Formats: sequence, C-alpha cells, structure tokens
Amino acid sequence: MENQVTDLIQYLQDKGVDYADVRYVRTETEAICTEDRMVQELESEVDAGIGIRVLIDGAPGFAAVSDLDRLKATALKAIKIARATARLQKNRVSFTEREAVQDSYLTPYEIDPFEITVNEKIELLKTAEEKMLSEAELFKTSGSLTFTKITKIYGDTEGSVIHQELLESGGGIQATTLAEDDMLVRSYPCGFGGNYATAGYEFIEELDLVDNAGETAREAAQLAEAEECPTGQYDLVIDSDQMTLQIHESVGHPIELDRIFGSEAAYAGTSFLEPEMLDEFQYGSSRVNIAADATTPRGLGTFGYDDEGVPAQRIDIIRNGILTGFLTSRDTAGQIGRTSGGAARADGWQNIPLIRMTNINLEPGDLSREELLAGIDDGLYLKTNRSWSIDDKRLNFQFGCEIAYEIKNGRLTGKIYKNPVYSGITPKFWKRCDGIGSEKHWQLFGVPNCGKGQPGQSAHVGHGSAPTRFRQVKVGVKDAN
Amino acid sequence: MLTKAEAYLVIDRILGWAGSLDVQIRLSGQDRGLTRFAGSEIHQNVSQEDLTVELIAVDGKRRARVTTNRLGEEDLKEALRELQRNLEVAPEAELEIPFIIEPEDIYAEEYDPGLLEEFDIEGRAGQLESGLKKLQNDREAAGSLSLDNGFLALGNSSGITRYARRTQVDFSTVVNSGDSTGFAALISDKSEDLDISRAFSRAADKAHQGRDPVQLEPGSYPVILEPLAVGGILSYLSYVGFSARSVQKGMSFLADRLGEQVFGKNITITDNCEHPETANLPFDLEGARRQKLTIIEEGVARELAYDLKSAILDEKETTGHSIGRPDIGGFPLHLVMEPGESSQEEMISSLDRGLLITRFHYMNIVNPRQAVFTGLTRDGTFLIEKGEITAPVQDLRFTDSMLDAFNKVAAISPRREKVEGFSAFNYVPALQIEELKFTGRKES
Repeated sequence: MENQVTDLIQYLQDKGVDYADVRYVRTETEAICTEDRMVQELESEVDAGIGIRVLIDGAPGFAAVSDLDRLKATALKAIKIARATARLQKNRVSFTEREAVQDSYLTPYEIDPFEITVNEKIELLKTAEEKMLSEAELFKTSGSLTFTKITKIYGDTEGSVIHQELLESGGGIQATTLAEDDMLVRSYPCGFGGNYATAGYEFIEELDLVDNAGETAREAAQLAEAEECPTGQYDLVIDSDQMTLQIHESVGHPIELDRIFGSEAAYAGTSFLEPEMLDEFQYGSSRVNIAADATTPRGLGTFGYDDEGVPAQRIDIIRNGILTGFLTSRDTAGQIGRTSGGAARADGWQNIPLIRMTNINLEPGDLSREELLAGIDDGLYLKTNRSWSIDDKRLNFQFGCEIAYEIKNGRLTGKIYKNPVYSGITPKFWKRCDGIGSEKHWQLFGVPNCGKGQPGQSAHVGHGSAPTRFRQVKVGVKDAN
Repeated sequence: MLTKAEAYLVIDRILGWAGSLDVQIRLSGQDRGLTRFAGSEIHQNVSQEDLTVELIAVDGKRRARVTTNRLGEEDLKEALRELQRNLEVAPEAELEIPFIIEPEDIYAEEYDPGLLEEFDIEGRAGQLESGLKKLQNDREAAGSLSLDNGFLALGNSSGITRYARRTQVDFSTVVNSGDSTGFAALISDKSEDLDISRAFSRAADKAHQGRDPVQLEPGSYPVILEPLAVGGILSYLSYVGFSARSVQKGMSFLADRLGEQVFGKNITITDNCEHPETANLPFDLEGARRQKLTIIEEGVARELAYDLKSAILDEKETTGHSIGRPDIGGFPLHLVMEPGESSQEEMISSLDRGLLITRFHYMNIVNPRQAVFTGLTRDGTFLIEKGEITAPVQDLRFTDSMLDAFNKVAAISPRREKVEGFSAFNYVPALQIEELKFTGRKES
C-alpha cells in the first residue's frame, strides 16, 4: 500500500499541485454488546480507503474514495475541488514548517484483543451481568466491549512517509433501575460504553468488570430509592470520570484554534477564547495545570504522528491557571506565530484533518481523598456523566451525573442522591477550583465519540485527572436564578 | 452510483457466494460533496465516495454481522467466511428474528437530477459566491452547503429486493453582524426548495435585528418557537420516546401511556415517508415496508415505531422503522407535525410579553422519563412586548419537561418547514407555548 501512496503523491506533483498529502487508513473493528445476559450485537467491520488533500495557490481541496482502483480520478477530483475553493477565498492557506520524516509507530500492547476468542469476551460480559443481577433487583443490565485496529500510511509532497498501527480496547457495564417516572443508571467504569485506551486486551482484564459489577448494581438499586439531589450552591468534589467531561467540554473544545478562528461557527459554535488571550488570560485558579499530551501512555488520544505528519507532543495549555497554549495544526499555528502542536486528526480515510483534542489532562495536585473532603462542611461528591450541554462559546455549561454522595463536615455520610445536575460559566467555574487529588488518585479515561465538523467526524481522545474540588457551584435547575 | 439493476446484481452475486447461509445483504453507496465557509470564504471543500456492504447471517437464534467496504470478490468471500465463523461461535439470543420475506420488491428510483447539476463542486461554489455577494460589507457568514447523492439497496436469502435512491441538499448559515448572529437553514430533495441567496438574506436580517441584545433574567416565559426550534425538540422527543424499544428500555415518557392524553389536544404527530414534504424511503434497514404511524393523535399517544426485534418482544408486527441498530430499535425518520391556524405574526401580536426563538443549541436529555430537556437559544432570540418585537435578547438556557411544554401549546402555524432531523428531514410548524422554563443565561 505504501507504494500506492507514494505513486499517488508523484502523480499529484506531476499535475502541478503546490502541496499534497495522501492517507491510506484501514480500520478493523470488533464490537460485542450484551443486554440482560443475551448477546445484543456481535459485529465485525472493515473500513478502508484513501484521502487526498491538495493545495493549489493556497486553495485547499480534499477528495476521498474507498475504491482503490479510482485513485487517480479521485486525485483529479481533489484538484478540481481546490480550484473551486479558489473562487471564494480571501486568505491563502499556508503550512508551518516541519521536518519530513520516514518513520513508524506501533501502539504498545501485551495481548492482541483480536486473538482472544469471541466466546471468552461474551462470557466476560455475561458473568459481569450475572454478578450485577445477583447483587440487586434491576430492570436491565448491559455490557459492551469494542476493539479497534487502525493502520495508517501517510505520505506527502514534502517527503514524509509514516506508517502507524494503532490499537484500541474499551469496555464497560451498566445497571438500570426504574422508579416512578424515572430511569436510573449506574455505569462502570464510566458512562456511555465504559472506558477506552490505546492498549490491548490486558486493559480489559485490568478493568475488573466482574469484581466491580456488584457495587455498580447495588448503587443502581439504591438510586431507585434515593431522594432527588437538592438544589442550591454547594462545594463539590468531582470524580475523575466526570472531570473527563468537564475538561472535554470546557477546556478541550474552547482551545481548538480552528474553532477560535471561526471554522465551526455555524455548527457547534466558536470559543470564548481569542488568540490575544494567550499567556494573559486567567482561565482558572492557580492550582489548575492542564496539558495536551499526545504521548500519554495508553491515552485514547495517543499516537506517533498526527494526520499532517507532525510528531505527537505535549503542549502546556493552562499553567498555574493562566492560558498558555492552544491545540493547533499546520495551517493555524503560523497565525499565532507558533509551529504545529500536532493536533490535526481525521476520522478515517474519508475525512479531512481538523484540530482535535489529543489527551487533555489536568495534572494531579497534592491532596489525599480525605483532605479533599475535609475542607467541605456541606457538599456533594459527583460521579459519572449522564447528560451534557454547553453554549456555542463554551461558557454556559450544564452537566448531569449518575449519582451524588452527600458530604457533611468533611466526610461522606453514606447518603446518596439521584439526578444531580450542576452548572456554571467556564472560567468562573475553574477559578473555584481549590483542591486537586494527588497522583495516586489520577485516572485516565478515553472518549471514543468526540463530535466535530461537517461532515461529522468522531475523534478518539483522552482525559486524565484526579478528583477535584470546586467551591460554591450551582446545583440543580429548580432555582431559576 | 449503482442503479437498481446494478445493485441487485451485486446482491445476487453475494447471495450466490453465501450458498446455504441465511443472509441479509445491505448495500449502501454515498457520493457526498460538502463546501464549508467561514468569514465569508471557503475554508474546507471535500468529497467522499464510499460503497459499503453489510452482511447479517442468522441461524435460529444465532446472529452475526460483518460490514466491509472492500468489494473485491475475494474480500467479499472472506467477509462471508468471517460471518460464518462468527455465526458459529455466537451464543443463542433470546429471540429468533427471521428476515423479512415480503413483498418481493420495493423500490424508489426517482430523484431530482437538477440537484446534481446545481450543487456539484462548481455549483456549490457559485451558489455561495452569489449569496455572499448580497451581504452587506459589515456582515460575515459561516456555514456549509452539501450534496448527498446515494442509494440504499437490500436483499436476502428469501429473495426480496429493495432499492432507494437518496439525493439531498443541506444548507445552513450563521451570519454575523457585530455582536449578533442570525441563522437560516434549508434541507430538501427538491431543487425548487433551495433558494440559497434568500436563506442568506433571512440569516442576515436576523443578525441585523439582533444587534445590542438585552439581558433577561432566567425564569418562565411564553415563547414562540420557529420551525427550526420545534424540529430540534421533536427529534429528541422521537429519540427518547417514540420507539417501542425506548419503552422496552424503560427510557420513554410514553411507557405504559399508550391511549392516554400525553400532549395537548392540538398536537398531532405522524411519521409518514409518503408525505410529499418528507424523503421517500419506503422500506427500513431490515427491508420491511415503512408504514405511516400516527404517534400522537390530538394529544393522545397512539402508535410506536418498531423494528423486527422490538415487535417480536411486544408480539406485534414491525412498522418498518429499523435503522439497523437493534439497540435503538424502530426510529421515526419522517416526522410530520400537523399545522394550525395562527400565523407567526398573529402569535407575536397576541403576546403581551414573551420570547421569539429561532433555534436551540446543544440540546440534551436531562431526564428521559419526564422528557426533561436542556439547551440554549441561539442565533436569533427576541423579546416580544405588547404584541411587537421590541429587542433582541442575549441567549438563555432552558431546562424543562416537554410533556409540560407540549401540553401548553397555545397556537400552531399553518406554514411548515422542512428541518433537519437525526437523518433526513422532518416537516414542522412554528409553535406558541404558554410557558417555557429558562434556568440560566449565556454570559459574554
């Protein structure tokens, strides 16, 4: 396949393009879903094709095709598209410099999940479901495992040729109960399909789905009897699994430089951030340190090179509460006087690279779990995302969780509440952060469905954090003010 | 793009290779072109061509699925071998779900060829160029214009065949005018519906009217929802509530409420792919004929959308609403809300104080059983006082039960619009609602 990629680049050069890159991507997926101890879905998928991006006089064009017998016709189509772009273009696209490389990257892993039998995987999910059902009276149980192997061969007219083999594993379980006019869920290790990593089957073994099934089921049953979460201003400790969503929506998306420049304006919106705020803007309290790190071991946003051939790297985003960096690509970084941070990523062969999150990680603090709670007289410990919504500038957010644990006088009381919802304004919220759990409590979660762009693209990204404390946050929606 | 005859030939060949395997073959082709613009210039211009085969095999209660876009003979034979291997190891499910066996053939080949001419690569650039030229210099636009040209074909070992052509144009734009934005969108499979320049003008007018917005305190307000805002709510109502599967999962607000008055008597919602203003996809992704559903009739919950599995569980027949996802079940894709008699102007003049809302942003479900949704107003929110629009309003967040809201619909417009749904488009009017609860506001 590498020869086809390099031949196509030569063909495009012969056609006189100023720049071209060609990506062959083959994705193999295996997905198993169970529900009520029955297999709901057993699916294998192979998806492959080539995406061709060209620049002609600074005008971009992109064409992608799955039929590998139509590569030259598709290359000509990309050229035709670039010429159409030029009709309505004010600013020529140019790329920041980067060294051409010939390299390869392979996700480190121990056990190839595609070598594990389907039966063993199904048995794992069914055993976890049986354990849930043995521990509590439930309306429904479910589980899922997903494995993805991605082969990428990238080449460009600047001389880079990069071969990457990425491997992802993910899974989780869920227990559902019903109460009057309410459906309650508890998920492990987090909501919406569980946790995902660039790793092999060893990651699934480490999740200990069966060992954690009992607690998941018991909490789901308790939620059916629980009171509605109270409303008001509360001190919160937010667990890592919910911090994942908090970081994702209120930091990860606002720092995408293409969004800041307006490319998503008509769709998911822009950002409250502006380039001039770099190194000046107080994003959060001085305790907040966040980096975009595409090298985090096992991160779902970990790779060797992005889809513009830029090496994976770690970029400071927020240092001591001050905004210090953005997620950038080759065409945007130059506009703020920087080089690409390696965050141009495409969903498969069929899409153009956009600026996407890598692993956006909140660095650990120095507090033990007890110390985090100790400073709270009357508060809530929130866990596991259930709903999310944020405005088109990424300021006004409202997030719902599966469960809230009551904190009184510095301790968990054992009482739980259902349907907690909290809201805030992004920088005001992050300025209320006054404590972060230590490295011992730091956890990495993978998000396999980050949506952006038109046509819609789904990115695989990661977020690491420890439980984090925020003071006086609005909880609930009954108090309209 | 495969014609009906070509698609059926591919299906026949795969069926031949499948031998005695009981298999369903779904073939879908897509040729999509999309042009995105921001700052009134094109910044992304792309094309995708793909042809995918999905193979599902059943053996009693065993079932397996393999999907591939590698369509060489050896690739497809390997996909069939993998399907056979997966089927052999698949444990028995709770139900046997046989393939559809009748009618023998359903097809819809017709499409508007004008779309392919007017919205090809050059056509899209030209449409945007002429639309943007009409904007005043102090206004900038962002958005996208896409042409989807595709087909869906299906066959199975029982000998049924299905084919539908799908050609659709989707346009949306946000026009920026200083501190305000305005939005307009068009979606249709008919070129006569697609006046791009006019849509730019609508968005620009909204943006102009939205300058210097006032801040309102959160609270309950009477609202007039334009069709785009209604369409957003309807899509989510459909997702959480209108499928039998969502009832079986315990998620639906219609659980145990069929036959009951759930919305106001002025609300009737159907799903009807034969309606002239919806897309014509006469079969579902299991090959069943798509039936007209009366989901809500004068406020009473009547019918739910079924796929094969959810129908067997409820001892009913499928309604032909499979989207190929048994975990989601039947899903209405052609929603039509019945019109009323009050024009939007009459609604405005009838309000002493309230809000006019163009659309919602980032809607999500807070509590599915109570149909509590949240979202923010966006790109055109206006204060109405004493029957007139008096000021633009800074965007607000609503969090409210749609069961409550759809029981307080004071007026419905006679004019309806095609608005984007989760797939294809729905056909909905504007609504005047006595009260919607706003729980926060956007801050600049």
